[in-house]
Amino acid sequence: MSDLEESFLTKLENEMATLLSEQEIFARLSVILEDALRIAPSKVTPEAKVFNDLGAESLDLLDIRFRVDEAFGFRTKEDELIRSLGAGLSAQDIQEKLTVRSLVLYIKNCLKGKSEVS
Amino acid sequence: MTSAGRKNLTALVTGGSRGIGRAVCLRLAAEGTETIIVNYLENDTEAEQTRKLIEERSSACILAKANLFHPAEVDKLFLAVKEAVGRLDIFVHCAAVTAFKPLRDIRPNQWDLTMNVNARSFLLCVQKCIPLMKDGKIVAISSLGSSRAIPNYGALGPTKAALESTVRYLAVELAPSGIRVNAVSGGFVKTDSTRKFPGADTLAEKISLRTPARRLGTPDDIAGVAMFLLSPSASWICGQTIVVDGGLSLV
Repeated sequence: MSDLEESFLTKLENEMATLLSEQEIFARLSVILEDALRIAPSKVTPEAKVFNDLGAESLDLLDIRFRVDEAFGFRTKEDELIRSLGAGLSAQDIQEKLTVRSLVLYIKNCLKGKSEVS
Repeated sequence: MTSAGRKNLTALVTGGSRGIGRAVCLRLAAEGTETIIVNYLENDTEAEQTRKLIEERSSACILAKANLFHPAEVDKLFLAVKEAVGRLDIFVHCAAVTAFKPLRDIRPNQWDLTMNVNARSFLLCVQKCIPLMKDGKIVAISSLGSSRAIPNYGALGPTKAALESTVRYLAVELAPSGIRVNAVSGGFVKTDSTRKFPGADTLAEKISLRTPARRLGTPDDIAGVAMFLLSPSASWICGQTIVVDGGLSLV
């Protein structure tokens, strides 16, 4: 196998691992969202907006974060989560931008940070 | 109480980084409490500011970040308290979360979250206080919504009712051990939390006009009465909720 082929395969493997990891995170997060917000599994898609589509309120986001903390073994931070959506966002922007996928990516970054620390 | 009055005493304040909790911490520091442990959920900046203000008043401060929603974190908090100071003389419970909405619209997860942070965590903390206290004093911070139906207060009012009831039961159970438990119930107090109330400014103006004392409460109004309940002057007060509202609940 040439260096180029090996590099390509390694990159592919890494990307697959990331993809799988995101899928696992999504699966766990879906259960959390369904249970917290009492919604059907079919409603929880990566593109679904947590506030505007799934009907979450600010208190629910706190509840979801607490459940995520317990399920994934780290502590979410409200300001970090908001920063991960973009800079200088209004409350309305946050409601529009916070999707299930953005939550998955935030959790993935936190897990990455956690593994780097440990 | 003079600054000598609380010398050598150790206090733990939940929700102590902001609002009423911070006011309680600063009053404790002003009265000479030796060590104040400030529990908070996540706002490091506000917690550091509270620490600075406590230390300016010559008390020692320990910041203790813990999410009281999780019983395991309550256990860890008290383990840390035991290791750091070995005992507790004062415990004040200010931690609370809420959303301002009618009770009829509350979902089960919202009920559980508010009830567990506002009321259950008080019980869990007191259970952990018992072995650390000798002649301890405990105060829970409640609000008028516990006994009065306030519009959009449905997520908080029932949790404060549970809190006040828990205070009464614990007061009776712990009085023989020399531990006094009481509560302070405040009217509308301007804090970061109440600013989120729907139409907060208009409501504040209306409440201020309706209050016989013609002003809103401040965090320090509540903290002052908590200090009284923690003092020897209140040694015969057991399991009571003292209303501090400028007369609002009388009209």
